[in-house]
Amino acid sequence: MTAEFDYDKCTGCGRCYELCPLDVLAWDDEKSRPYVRYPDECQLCFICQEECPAKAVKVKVPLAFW
Amino acid sequence: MNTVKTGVLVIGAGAAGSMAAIKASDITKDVVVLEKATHRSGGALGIGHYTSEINPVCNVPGGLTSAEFVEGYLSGSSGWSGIERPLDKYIIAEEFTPIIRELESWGLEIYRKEDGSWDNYWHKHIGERMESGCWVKGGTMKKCLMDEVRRRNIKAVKRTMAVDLLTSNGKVVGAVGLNTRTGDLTAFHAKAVVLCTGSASRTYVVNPGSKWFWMRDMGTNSGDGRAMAYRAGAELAMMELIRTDHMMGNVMARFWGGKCYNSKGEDFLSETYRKRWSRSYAMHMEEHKGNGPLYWDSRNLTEERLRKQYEYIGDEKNHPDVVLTESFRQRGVDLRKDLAYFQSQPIGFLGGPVFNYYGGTTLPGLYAAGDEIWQDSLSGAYVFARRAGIAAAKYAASQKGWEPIDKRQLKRIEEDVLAPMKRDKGVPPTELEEKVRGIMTACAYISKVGGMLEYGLRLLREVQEKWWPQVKAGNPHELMRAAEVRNIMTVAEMHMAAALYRTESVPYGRHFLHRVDYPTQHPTWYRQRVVVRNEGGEMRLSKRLTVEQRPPTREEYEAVKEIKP
Repeated sequence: MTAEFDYDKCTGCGRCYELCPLDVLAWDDEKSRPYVRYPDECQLCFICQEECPAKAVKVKVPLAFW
Repeated sequence: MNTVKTGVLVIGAGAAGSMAAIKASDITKDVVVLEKATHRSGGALGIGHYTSEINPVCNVPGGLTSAEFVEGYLSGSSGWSGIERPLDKYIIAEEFTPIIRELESWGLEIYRKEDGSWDNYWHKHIGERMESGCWVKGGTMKKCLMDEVRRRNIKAVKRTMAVDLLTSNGKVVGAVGLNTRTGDLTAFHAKAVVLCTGSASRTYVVNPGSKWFWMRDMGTNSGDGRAMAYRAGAELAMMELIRTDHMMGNVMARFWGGKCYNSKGEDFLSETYRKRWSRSYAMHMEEHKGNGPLYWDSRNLTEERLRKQYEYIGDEKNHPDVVLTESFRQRGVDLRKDLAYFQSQPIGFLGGPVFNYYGGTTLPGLYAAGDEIWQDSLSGAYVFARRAGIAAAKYAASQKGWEPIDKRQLKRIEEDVLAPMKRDKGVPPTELEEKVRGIMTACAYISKVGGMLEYGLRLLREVQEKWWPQVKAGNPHELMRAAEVRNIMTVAEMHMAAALYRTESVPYGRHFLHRVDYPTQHPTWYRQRVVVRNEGGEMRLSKRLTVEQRPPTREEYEAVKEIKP
């Protein structure tokens, strides 16, 4: 898994969706919140985690790297 | 298709692209910069790689002069590679320190000592003195450039990938941009274009788990600039030379001290330096000979050094290298206590468009900077982007009228780019990318053999002919991936063809070629570069002699100091 959202904390500000360099995240219009649409294309750059003002995103280093 | 007119078009808003746009804007207000991601997150600096140290800091008290820096550079591995253009390094030594001061005035934060002077690190003896660099707060690295672009009202167009260059009467007159979220195409009609699309890193499968984007360099970097320059007819050189890095998973094992050991407990790098092999070549050869796994031992570093390393790299408030620190933290790696296992991975190629001292390529109106050309360092990116930005703006100012856009060319580009959207069924672009990178990994990995390169080229050309016309994109995002894989195929083909053409090994310099069937350097190839060019759809390769491998004189620098269009 790559980015994980804590939707209880997520305010739906769209910062992560705005920034994701590889365009991995998409926007769920109905729920007004981001989700991971292309998990295979995540680079683990951590920008969604670092830039989230609500600290609602955690990027997990995948098992393959342990 | 909409048309946007601009004097200077910069493609890519990373370190080089931002700098080129800023410097061009000193001369003309008419500057547009395209970025496939966003200005905050695009490029190597956007995600926080390499951002805690910058070097070389020359011509400061206690530091090297430009001449000493180049001498040191040539006395190491690079001096034997035969492919250097030493004046490039002199230019960097001379012009980088003033650029750091300028970056500081734009908001870059540099770690300082109590007396207020830069807290430089000193890492390599050259004669009596040491080469130095300075520690910077990574979080301010991209931000200071972004803020300056904003202050100057430079038009930054995000989520827009340049898909092809526009040419007219042998000149480059703009590019077509694809909005990666709406799928709209825009023609950017320009007087000069600066390519700054970074390295061509998405060319191998380097990590386990079928994940194509886990790698050191920015995942957006699919060699777009190199492929566009090739299609437009520019000459590219040194595409045969690969760069590897010592990696732990997808992060670079960054160490500034300590020792490197192979599985026999041998400190093989000391021997490497005696032979003047490049470090990355030597590390790869240890693995190739069966002496892996390799370890880095930094447990013997002084406490002061370790403290600074941890404080400056792992400064949480400024997240200088969040990828490295987060990965180490989550995996529980502690360099004070642990041996660090690493392996060599390909991270990109040295080659790119042939350029002059002002970043000008072989096509009028086309400039290039950053990792696009043979400047794989941040200092080189800044210095040559400054030069390319100024040169492109001067060139644009010298063009009185507008070269017309060729309507047929525009139509052809539109059809090529949008074709994957028009198919009802077909292959997803990521599947094709997986195939192409699989071919590269099987046939043209770090150690190469002529027969495998020939076979790889045949496979690749088959894939290009048979499968590229069957790629299907269901939305703009996939259309971007399709445009990218087309570029990856072009770069892969250039690398394999050039590596096959060069019948020797080059173990020196930061980038190298290892031909198992031609294991040593050969005198007939010394100072020769392989030049690749597209002639009517055919890939043509040739040899070209480069400059003398000696430190340049002050007069030689003075002659290129003033930037010409």
